[in-house]
Amino acid sequence: MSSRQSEVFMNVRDLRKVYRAEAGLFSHSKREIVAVRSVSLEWRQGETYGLVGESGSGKSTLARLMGFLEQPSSGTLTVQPSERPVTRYVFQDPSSSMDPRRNAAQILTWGARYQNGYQGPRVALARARLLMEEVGLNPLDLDKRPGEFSGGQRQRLALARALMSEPLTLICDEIVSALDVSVQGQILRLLLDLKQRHGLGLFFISHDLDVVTYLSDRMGVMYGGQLLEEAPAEVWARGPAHPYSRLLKDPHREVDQGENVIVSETSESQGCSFAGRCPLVQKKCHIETPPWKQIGPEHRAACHFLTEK
Amino acid sequence: MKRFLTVLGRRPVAAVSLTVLVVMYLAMAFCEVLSPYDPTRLFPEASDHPPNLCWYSSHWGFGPQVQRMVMIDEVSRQYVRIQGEYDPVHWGVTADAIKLWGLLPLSWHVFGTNVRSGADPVFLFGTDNLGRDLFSRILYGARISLTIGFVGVAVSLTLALLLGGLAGYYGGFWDWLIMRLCELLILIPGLYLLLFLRSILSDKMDSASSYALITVILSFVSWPGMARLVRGMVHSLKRADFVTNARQEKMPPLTILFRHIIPQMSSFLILSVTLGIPGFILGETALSYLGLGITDPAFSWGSLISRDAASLDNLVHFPWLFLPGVFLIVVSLAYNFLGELLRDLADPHWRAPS
Repeated sequence: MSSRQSEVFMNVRDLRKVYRAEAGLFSHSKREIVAVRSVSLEWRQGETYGLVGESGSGKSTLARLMGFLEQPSSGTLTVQPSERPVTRYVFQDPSSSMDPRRNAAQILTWGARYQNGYQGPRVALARARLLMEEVGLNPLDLDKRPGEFSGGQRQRLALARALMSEPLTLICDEIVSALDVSVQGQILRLLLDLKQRHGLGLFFISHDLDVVTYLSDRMGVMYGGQLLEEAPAEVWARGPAHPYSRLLKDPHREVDQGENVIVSETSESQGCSFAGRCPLVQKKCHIETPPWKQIGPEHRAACHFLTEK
Repeated sequence: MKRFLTVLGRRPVAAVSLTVLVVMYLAMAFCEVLSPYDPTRLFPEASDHPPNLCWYSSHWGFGPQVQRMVMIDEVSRQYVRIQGEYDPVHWGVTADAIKLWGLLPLSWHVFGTNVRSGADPVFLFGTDNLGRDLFSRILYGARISLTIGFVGVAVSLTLALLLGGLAGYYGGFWDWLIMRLCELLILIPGLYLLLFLRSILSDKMDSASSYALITVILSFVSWPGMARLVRGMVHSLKRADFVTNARQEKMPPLTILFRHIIPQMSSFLILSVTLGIPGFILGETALSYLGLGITDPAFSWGSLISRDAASLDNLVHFPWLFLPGVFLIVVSLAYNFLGELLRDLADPHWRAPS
């Protein structure tokens, strides 16, 4: 499945997001935080794209940009025009992404009114019932509030809500990281099940490598706002190429490294974002942005010291 | 609701306050039948008559009855009791014709004496200098005093929610403009603003339009403080995930504001209503006391105070004339105690003592 060349669903070109740090009234410093430095990737039709990286790597910001929740500072996002909503962003914490004062029926149906082809509250409610069953919830619980569901049930409800508008794809931002391990498995199985049934494309973000390699067709590795490596999941699981990927896969290697500098959130946009922690670092890593190198079929990495095949 | 009742059981002061308020509002609603006389009816023989209800006499035994009194000094209006002369107070008597809520013609009153057969009228709280029954006047005056708080809070809260909400949600220029306007209004001392607004507007008005005008003026003075609070809360809530999620569903901003953001502030709203009402009642009183509020023939507690209790002389000789002020104090205190309870209930860190 991974090697199949299918159509590009969303084309991300040089996407960049800069946040201006809150400055005092009289302060002249304009500190900027570059959350996403310059990311280009292709998300293909029906594909599950996994994104890994540690906290602060910019993967959530990238996901929010791709979910159109935020405007990019520069760069473009192109999608094929469609009748149905292109994508729905599913939040990490379902208890904060649903109004605590509304019951499940309201949470599911209120949004439906603003979608194309709205057919009235009764149709929406019927669809809500159907989706409740589909995600493994009791439709009789439609009058419960989010607080009355367990964590796993809440995430099921969040998935049902996302599917209400019949989106083509889902962007799942760490949707299982707040759950128990046993519940995580159930939700992931549900996600695969829903993907199959609705023909969804998935953009799956996690810091859990096992989950991402298990779930994804292709995956990317992010660090410091840059995409450093991209490969089919099983290829990456067998042998990551980029120094950061190797470190991510086997974190004990970092112990040898004397200096452990967390990458600074400055506006520098030159060089490799991983240069501060890289065991192979040389002077040019700080100056030149490493070019993409093709390691294998569908497998590329951005590092000065890799050789193309 | 259940939690409210259990906490209420443990807070006797708040429970009493709630009871007092409920009783007052009920009395206000049924003031036509509850008051023995029309509030404008003059008893020429009984100006500045002291309260005359007593509960025991050797003739009638225990029970509500009226002690007959006679004026002995026309100048200082001094009354003395006539020994041994009492008239019984009856429940359910036919007296002055009234219209309940301005609609239902009745001539039934809850209590009264048999005035037609020569009994002395009952003055629960005495009379004023024209011989009008103060109890009836307090009951009728409550119609203005007790409702002006609700109407005023409703108007100012609506303004605060709308303007504060828009400022918080949209931010930027509108935020700047609305907040600077609020600060300007807060900057001016409230009473002077009230006086200024009242004086530039016409002073010849009937009671209904002066009621409306006073409400508007009071609301105009009190919305900016609330708007600032609302703006702050909306500002932080608009970044909440569930708001982003609703925006993702293409819900229009105003709908998000009123369906998702403002309901989160309900505990604050309940609180600002209960604490805002006595402010309005006192504001109306202050205006009426200064002669800029409700004027004759309409009357409120404030105008009763300013009319009857304005001079120390009056208070020394006819202390019952201060009773409208007592009602005012009781109502304000009751709202404050109740508001305190609600604030504790709304505070997530507060626990009911067990």
